[in-house]
Amino acid sequence: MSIPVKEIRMDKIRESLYYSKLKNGLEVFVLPKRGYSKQFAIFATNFGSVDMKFSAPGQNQASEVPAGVAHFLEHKLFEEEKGNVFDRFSSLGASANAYTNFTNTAYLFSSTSNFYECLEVLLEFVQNPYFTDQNVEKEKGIISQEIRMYDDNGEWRSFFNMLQGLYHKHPVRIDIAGTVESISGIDKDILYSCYNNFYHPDNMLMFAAGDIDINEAMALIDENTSKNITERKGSIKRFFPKESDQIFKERIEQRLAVAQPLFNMGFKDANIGIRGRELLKKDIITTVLLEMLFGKGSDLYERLYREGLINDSFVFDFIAEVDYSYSMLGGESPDPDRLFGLIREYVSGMKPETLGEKDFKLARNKLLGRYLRNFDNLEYIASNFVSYHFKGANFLSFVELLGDIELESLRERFEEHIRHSTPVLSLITPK
Amino acid sequence: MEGVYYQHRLGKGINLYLLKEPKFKTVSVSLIMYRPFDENFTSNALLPHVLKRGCEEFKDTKSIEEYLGRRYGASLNVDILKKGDIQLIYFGSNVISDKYTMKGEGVVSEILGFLVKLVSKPLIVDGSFSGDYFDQERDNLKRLIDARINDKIQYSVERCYEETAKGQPFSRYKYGTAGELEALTPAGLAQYYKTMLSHVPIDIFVVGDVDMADLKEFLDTPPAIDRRDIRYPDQRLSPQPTDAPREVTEAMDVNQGKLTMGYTTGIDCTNEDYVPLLVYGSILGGGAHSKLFNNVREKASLAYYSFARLEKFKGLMVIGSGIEIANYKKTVDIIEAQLEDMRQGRISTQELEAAQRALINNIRSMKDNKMHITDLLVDRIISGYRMTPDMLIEKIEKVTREEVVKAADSIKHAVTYFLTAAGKAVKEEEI
Repeated sequence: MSIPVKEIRMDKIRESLYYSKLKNGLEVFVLPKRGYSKQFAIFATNFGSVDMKFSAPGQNQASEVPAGVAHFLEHKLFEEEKGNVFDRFSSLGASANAYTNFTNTAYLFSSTSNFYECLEVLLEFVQNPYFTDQNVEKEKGIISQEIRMYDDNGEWRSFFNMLQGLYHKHPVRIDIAGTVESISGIDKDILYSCYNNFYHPDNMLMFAAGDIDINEAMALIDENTSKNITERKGSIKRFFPKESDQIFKERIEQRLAVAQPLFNMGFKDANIGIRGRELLKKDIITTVLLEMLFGKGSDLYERLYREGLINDSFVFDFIAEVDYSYSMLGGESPDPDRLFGLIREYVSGMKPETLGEKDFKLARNKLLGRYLRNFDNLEYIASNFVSYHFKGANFLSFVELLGDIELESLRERFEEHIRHSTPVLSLITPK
Repeated sequence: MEGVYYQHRLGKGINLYLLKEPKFKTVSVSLIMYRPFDENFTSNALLPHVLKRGCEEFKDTKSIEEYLGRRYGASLNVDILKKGDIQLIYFGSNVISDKYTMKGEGVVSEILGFLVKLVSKPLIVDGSFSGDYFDQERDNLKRLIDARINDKIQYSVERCYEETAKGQPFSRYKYGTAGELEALTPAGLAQYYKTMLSHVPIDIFVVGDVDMADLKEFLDTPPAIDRRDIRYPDQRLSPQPTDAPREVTEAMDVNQGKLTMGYTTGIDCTNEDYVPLLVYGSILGGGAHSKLFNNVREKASLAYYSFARLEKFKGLMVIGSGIEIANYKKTVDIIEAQLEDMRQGRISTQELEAAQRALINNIRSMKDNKMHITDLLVDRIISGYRMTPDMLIEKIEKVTREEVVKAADSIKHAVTYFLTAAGKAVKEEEI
């Protein structure tokens, strides 16, 4: 029996994506990449660190869980009654990994042989939780060291302090792994309850890429996920505290053992609640805008660099989630306060008409180059595909949308998101 | 590597290596100069940063960025790499393949020409680099050197290597020292560069969907540099220690201690025992299948990460873990017990095979990454050891437990480096 498969062609980048929705609700995507040695599969759930209050499909009662549960669950899924999943991938010559971010948790492997066997192991272990009081306790030591490691990481701290400045209540302001205290309250019952709610095929996604056979992969996934699945009526509800459009705190400083001050600067986006293609479009428009404002080759960059206020570590990015969204800048600077002042002054004094056609085209070209560059990296495609899919958009339609955006919408976006907003400055200064 | 491989002599001591890989959408171009780690190492570290600011044709960042922007935002990166006793000055760009340009225009050949102009036609006026560029880049580099402590894991590994190879050129920091930087001048650096350029070996690497014919324009105009006495720097194995292991403790204001142990292996990548040593390293600390991961992390919950890493030119190894400071002795004991197990041949068939498979998977995966391919080509040139990935895989498959134990025999503990919290230095009796 073969599974009905739909082809999604992307002629501009000369790729085709194959899609199928299985009876149990799981959506499966296969991206054939001929000539690649590596095969790659990612099995992801729409459950991240911000999902701390939710109700199961068909239920009205909302449950609240401690910070760090999604990440804790990720760690624990690798443990099985018979041992540890890494060993099974190792014996197949593949390497397995996982990550948890704010909005999703993903399990993945990369192999150069035994792809279908690995795919089976991936499906099996993610669908078979094994939590005991003892193995949950043991994990607390490991995760505590992971948290402590990040406590010494200036860039990480600077980033989270910025989020705490941007948000009053939204759980994006809490570390993904939680805190040593919050994870102490996690037990096996909490893990099972989150598992049962979020690790249902209707809340998950499978994405595979590499030189692989589409039908064989689809059939194998179907066969290994269909058993014992009960269809759910309704959907998971997620509850977030009402968040103000305004920032929480304008300046946050922390002292750490660093040599140079580190900074992050954040612009809160008030235009939220957008999903799908519109969200991807907003992402692209804002990214092109940031490139025009802050990219190498912009007047501002040149000036800040010449003054020694920024160096090659300077980065900027736009984060487009459905329930929260922000632009951020970051890097090292000998004088983040002065840098912050100059940037604020520059953007608030700038007229939208100054954003010209020539620079717009140049920035768009740059983005195309960057996108294609990243397309040579299977992991990058996969993780972005996953995160966009859960937001209702196809990340692979990026190039097509990039061609459609107009300078006028970018100027409007500048007015709305950057020019009149009050940014946050987070800085890490030497102890 | 499976791709089609060309080698072309561009001039005296300037070679071009092209690896054609149709699967990639972008092309990686690298220009590398090789220097010994001699007393000029700080000058070498500063050079690429000054050179990237402008050349005769493109005098400032803005004109460079415009040139690159029009070529689909080709990137420009410069850096210093360290391979054993050799300091590599790196200039690189990533550009979309000519096959994906809007009108099929050739951009790869132009980018190659651009990189060569950057190094061969520097902006030197009246025998001196621009004072502004020099000052700004010197300040940037000084900050980069200072910022070394920001990444505690990386820092402790590098410090451990330096202590293990104390007194040897290898113990020099690749970015130089702040003190020596102070003494440099724009005229002195320009003078040094002119002399150096006449005899430094230069290799250019191109990896991607490119044919020699696409580079015709570039190949027809070879770089005009007067060259003589070109020689690749020497590489020397690190001698084995004759004394008992040294303890080095460094205090910093940190939450987590970084325990890093340094060893000499007496085996570099040209040695016949190198392949068994690779397997040794993988069994001991090469991932989730390894003894360190399973014993330090999974069984004892002492750390989030615990790894062993080899340096293949000098014959060195480091073991690193991030731990609670109070767990220092406990962790050292467990690590030493793993090394003892390796020496005694207490290696299960499963451990041996998992390590072999993991190594093979890594090597095969490298073929999908342009930077890894370039790196392998560079390693082959500087070690003179012409082993292809496929030959290496074949050898790994044949490694026996006895050969691993033999490699274990030549591993000598030289240094234990501990990055610990200020005021919490480990007491004598605890060591």
